[in-house]
Amino acid sequence: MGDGKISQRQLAFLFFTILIGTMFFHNPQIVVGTTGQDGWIAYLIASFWGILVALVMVALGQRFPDQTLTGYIPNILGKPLGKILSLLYTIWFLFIGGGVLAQFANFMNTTIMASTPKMVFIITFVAIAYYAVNLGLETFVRVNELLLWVIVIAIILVVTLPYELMDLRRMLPVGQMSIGKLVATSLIAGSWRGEVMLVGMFLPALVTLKNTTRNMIWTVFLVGVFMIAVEISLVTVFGAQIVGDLEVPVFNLARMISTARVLDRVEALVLIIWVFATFIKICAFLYCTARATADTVGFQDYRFLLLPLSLLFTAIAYNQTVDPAKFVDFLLFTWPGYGLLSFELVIPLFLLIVALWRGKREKKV
Amino acid sequence: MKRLLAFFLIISCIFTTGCWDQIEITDLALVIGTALDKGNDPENKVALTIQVANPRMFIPGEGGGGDGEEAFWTATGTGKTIREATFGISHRVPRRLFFGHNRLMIVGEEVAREGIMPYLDRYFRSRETRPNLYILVARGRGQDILETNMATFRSSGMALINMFDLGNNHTVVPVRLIQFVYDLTSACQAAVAPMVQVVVQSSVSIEEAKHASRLQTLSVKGLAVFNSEGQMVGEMNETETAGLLWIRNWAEKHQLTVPCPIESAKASVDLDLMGSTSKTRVEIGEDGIPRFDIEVRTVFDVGEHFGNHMDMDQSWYIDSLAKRANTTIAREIQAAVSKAKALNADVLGFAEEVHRQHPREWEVIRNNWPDIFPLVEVNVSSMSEITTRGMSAENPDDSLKVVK
Repeated sequence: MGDGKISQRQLAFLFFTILIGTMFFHNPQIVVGTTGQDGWIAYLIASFWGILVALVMVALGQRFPDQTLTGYIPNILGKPLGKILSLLYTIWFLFIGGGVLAQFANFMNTTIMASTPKMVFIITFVAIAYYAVNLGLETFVRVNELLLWVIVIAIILVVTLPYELMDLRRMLPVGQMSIGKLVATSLIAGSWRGEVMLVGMFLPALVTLKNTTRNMIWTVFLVGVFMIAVEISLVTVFGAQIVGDLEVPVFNLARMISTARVLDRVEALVLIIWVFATFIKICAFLYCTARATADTVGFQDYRFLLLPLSLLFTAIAYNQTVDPAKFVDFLLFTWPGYGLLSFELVIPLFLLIVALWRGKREKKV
Repeated sequence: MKRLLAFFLIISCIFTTGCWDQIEITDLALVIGTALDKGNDPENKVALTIQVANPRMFIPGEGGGGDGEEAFWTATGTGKTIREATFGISHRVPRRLFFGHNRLMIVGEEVAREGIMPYLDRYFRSRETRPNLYILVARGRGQDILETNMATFRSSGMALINMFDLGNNHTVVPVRLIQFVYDLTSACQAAVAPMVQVVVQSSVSIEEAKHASRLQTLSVKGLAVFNSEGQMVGEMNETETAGLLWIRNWAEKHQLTVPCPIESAKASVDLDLMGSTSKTRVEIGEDGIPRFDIEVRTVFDVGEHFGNHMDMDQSWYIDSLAKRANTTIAREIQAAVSKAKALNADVLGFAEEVHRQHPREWEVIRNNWPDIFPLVEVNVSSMSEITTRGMSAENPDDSLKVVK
């Protein structure tokens, strides 16, 4: 398809950005809000869910090495049912991608640009993403290789610099939450980690499938390590009680930084993470939507779909910029059912079982 | 296509001259401190006083001392909420009030006694104010603190910020709002904030005396104690504050004055704290009442020997000093404990320790903590060490005596 090939390293980098991108911002508020200082256990369990998703997707991908997820679903389930599921996945990509952008716009309004219309952020990002994806998969994957380092360094700084305010004993006592509550919360946190499901759309672009399983497990696990570091930093600075009450806790964490009265007011670090990660994420979701549409309808090329899909993307993103109470409600009660419990884990697992049972593989050309 | 793109890029430069919400710094009024009092009007409950800095006066060598230009100005507004009071002020100020550099939350005593809870929200919700600002309670009205024109510092707000930035200095205990709210919302449900009052400046130069209004200064002394409802229920004096510092492991720069081990001399020896750690161990008694063992380890330096006799160079003398330091620390800790018990406000962090060390038992104790706390038993074991004695071994006077 003239898309260029990506390497294992690029894939792992891309998914690190995708996974940590939005998780970094709203997730701690919900996880710490429900499980207190034991949030890190929920993140550990969430890593397990993420790894499971990665294993299923790569196992599916190895059976159909030249097709994307939406491409091989009809092969597994048969045409009518498979096409419907592919279409559902297309809509899911569009919807979740729009949600990511809506979150970004909400975040900008919440934090520093209170009076800028949300549409400004949405249109800017969709326009840049359209431009990037139009140049092909390889382009934004390579851009990500540069941005990732900035994101990682910024996260490390934000998490470690408020060291003066940290009281590590606020992590104690450990294990106050019941297992049931931890697992329930891990489903919410895991739905973010489950976005590793997108790998199903990128596998055919890989130069080689060797070591994909190992790399994806490492990526998911490392994201978990970063989120645990974020959680520990938040709880030790604010205390679990307050974190649950804060809007965008990580941004508040950055506001606390005042190191030696020199390194002061470094919230921009959080913005760097947020802007870069959102950009890469929007690119990935736009790419997935376009590929999925092309697969479902049966087009060879996806690029001419980008323009209409971008417009749709804009509209869907704007439609999702709801008030914050509704938004948290969505993350708490709707998102796990939408993510891990259906599109991210349960349906792919079902597909894998059916593929194994019916012995479906890609026919060698 | 490329030309078209280039054209649009160049055109777009016209629209990207700045940030959407940008305001020139000269249009901002930089608020450095806020004070909250009760309004006189029953309708408008909140009286907010802001202190706005005049940045030009803080540049050394420039503007300083320029007549007619003050280093700060204050304004007070009233309203049903803090925000409404802010807008009340902005009607009289030609610049936009900017709270990004606001680092003080001074609470008037009346507000503190009535309950501080409703006043906290704005400080966490504001996009500009950071919740790591310092919280303190004014003896009297908070407004008076910010309106004080000090001889020793250009602005009273900046003076307090400077003082607190130095860290825990003897019994001056800076408390950040996040720490305060953490203590209030944690298992302890009680918090402290330093108290500040306006006092008469005693060391005044002739030049200062010309300006009668500059005879005042601020003094930070003691701690206000808040209960679980956020009401100020009492104060801790300096001894009790010191005890609290030992228990919570907050002591940084600290000084003890102990009586000289030679009783007949009736002299005093000053010990300066070089380092300290304290640990609280909790044991639950058979009756379900926790017992606290507080272990304080300290290292001191002899700061001054106010007397004229010998033996400072003897090892028994140093040992005896250390024992006296232990006694003083234990006395201070017990003073803090009995005050906290009397006020039934667990500002010592005991509930947190029970919660951490005995999470199961805590579930039982939790609901009855206000009843249990006044009954708890506290044992103190203090281990002081004196490792240095400054730059001289003996009072010079004493060395003469030895020669004789």
